[in-house]
Amino acid sequence: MQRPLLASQAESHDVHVLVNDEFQQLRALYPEFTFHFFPRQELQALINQPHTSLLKPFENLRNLMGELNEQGFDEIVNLTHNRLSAYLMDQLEATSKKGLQFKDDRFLPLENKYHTYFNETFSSNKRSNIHYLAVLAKSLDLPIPRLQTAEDRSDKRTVYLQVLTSDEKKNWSLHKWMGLLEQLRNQYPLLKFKVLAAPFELDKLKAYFNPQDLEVTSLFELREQLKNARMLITGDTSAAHLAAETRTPCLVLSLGSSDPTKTSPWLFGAWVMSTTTACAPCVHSSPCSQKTHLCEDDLKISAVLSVIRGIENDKQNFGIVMPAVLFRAEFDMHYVLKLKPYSATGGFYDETKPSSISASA
Amino acid sequence: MNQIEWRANSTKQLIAFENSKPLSDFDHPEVQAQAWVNSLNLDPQTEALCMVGCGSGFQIETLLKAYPQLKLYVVESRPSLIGFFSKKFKNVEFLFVEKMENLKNFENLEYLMSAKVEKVLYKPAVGYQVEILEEAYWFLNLRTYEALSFHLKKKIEGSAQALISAKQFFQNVDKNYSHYKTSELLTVKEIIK
Repeated sequence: MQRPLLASQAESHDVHVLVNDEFQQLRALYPEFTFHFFPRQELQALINQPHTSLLKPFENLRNLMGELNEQGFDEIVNLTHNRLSAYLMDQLEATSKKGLQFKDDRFLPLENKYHTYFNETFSSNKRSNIHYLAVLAKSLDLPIPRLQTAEDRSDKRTVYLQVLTSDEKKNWSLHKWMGLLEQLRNQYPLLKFKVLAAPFELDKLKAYFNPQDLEVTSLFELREQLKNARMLITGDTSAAHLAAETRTPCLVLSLGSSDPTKTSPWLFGAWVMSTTTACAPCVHSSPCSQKTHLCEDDLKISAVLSVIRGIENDKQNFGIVMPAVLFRAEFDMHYVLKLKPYSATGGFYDETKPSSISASA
Repeated sequence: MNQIEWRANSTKQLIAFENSKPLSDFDHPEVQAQAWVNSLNLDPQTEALCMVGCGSGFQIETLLKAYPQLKLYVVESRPSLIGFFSKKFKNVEFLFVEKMENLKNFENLEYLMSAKVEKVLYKPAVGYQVEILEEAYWFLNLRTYEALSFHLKKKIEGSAQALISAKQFFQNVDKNYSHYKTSELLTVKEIIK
């Protein structure tokens, strides 16, 4: 999701990125950045296995930081709001440091009101009327990335469905995806529908979909495929952000801990569906607290189908049934992404709720 | 202390026995040693290695051949093995550890306990010395209450030989811990959550 921010920095800087080693795919995906991988899983294994010195993870960590410091960075920017990154900021050396930092034995005071807002809103389950990227950019005194517009892909035939996310809470049930696929096939016989699968998801998805409907891809391959896609229908996951990068029309089903106004694709014209379920969006790191997956229950196939039909027919005014809610990503007066909500009876509301802080202030 | 005796196999290789228990494979000790060295998968940059248990010595030879730059320490509780191998491997430092006090009095113990030195337990060489050699091994890896107490230079409540968890380690480390910065400690602590 931070790619637009990094890309704008890469126009004038040599950008290195430190990420957890589970994201090795990023190196192939974004060769314009130099990636370094934080061996979180390896360190976790080392500290827990008694056959290794208890000091080994500390030594490995120090060696890694030493290697990074040999790069001689001019500036280090913490793009996260988590404590681990703040601790690493203390071990990394640079003339200038921005973002959440720990120094000696305490966290440094937050740098500005945006930083405070970012930390308070995105570290907890508070709602935000401002997109994550806009707040992050302002908190770090970086330019807000330019918002691109979804392309007209009405001449393309392939529609991709990204049915799984990294978090069970954010998933729409596979039975509903099956139902949606069947109805889409009936209504749009000239279009081709493909269900996306990462290699490790294949076995799970084979229980629900015909093997010929499944498209196994890496993130790199997916980005290439999206360039020729008519549309992506997806849960709130990396595929949605690849759609934004490739200017692919998309509909995001925002469930569980996914907060549409915080993490929708950075793309003018992206559509986001959610629900008014009281407990949503829930806390990111905890499992669903309800007896049943209420927000998922509330989002019916018919509601999703009616939105797809509306998008396909290029309608600007169509109704959806509560408790489903629908937003469209647009520019605000400062060319920052805002989500424009549809009313339950059809058409746009006039205004979004006023925010407590303006990203462009 | 059990008696160590030497027997020759069909290819005239000398194999150490402790009370009739061989301290390496009898017929193909060099194959066993090579497989073990391969399984270590050592980083070529490894500065030093501390081997607990020296057995019939084939693994020492194989290890030094594969990693000639390696500074090698061998912890052993049977004096006759140390006597035999210290003459054969002049550059290897042998530590006689009949009881834990011997190890604690070793002048370079802090270095030996540091993460710069890899610690390995060569199981075929343990023979009947399981108790002392395993205790020494866990101690060197800083995994017992006794080792943590020694490392932190303070008394830690708990059975000396019992293994400690990473969580217990962090419970006992305070702000005066000088080995690593607070942020380094907190980084690793955050990871084990």
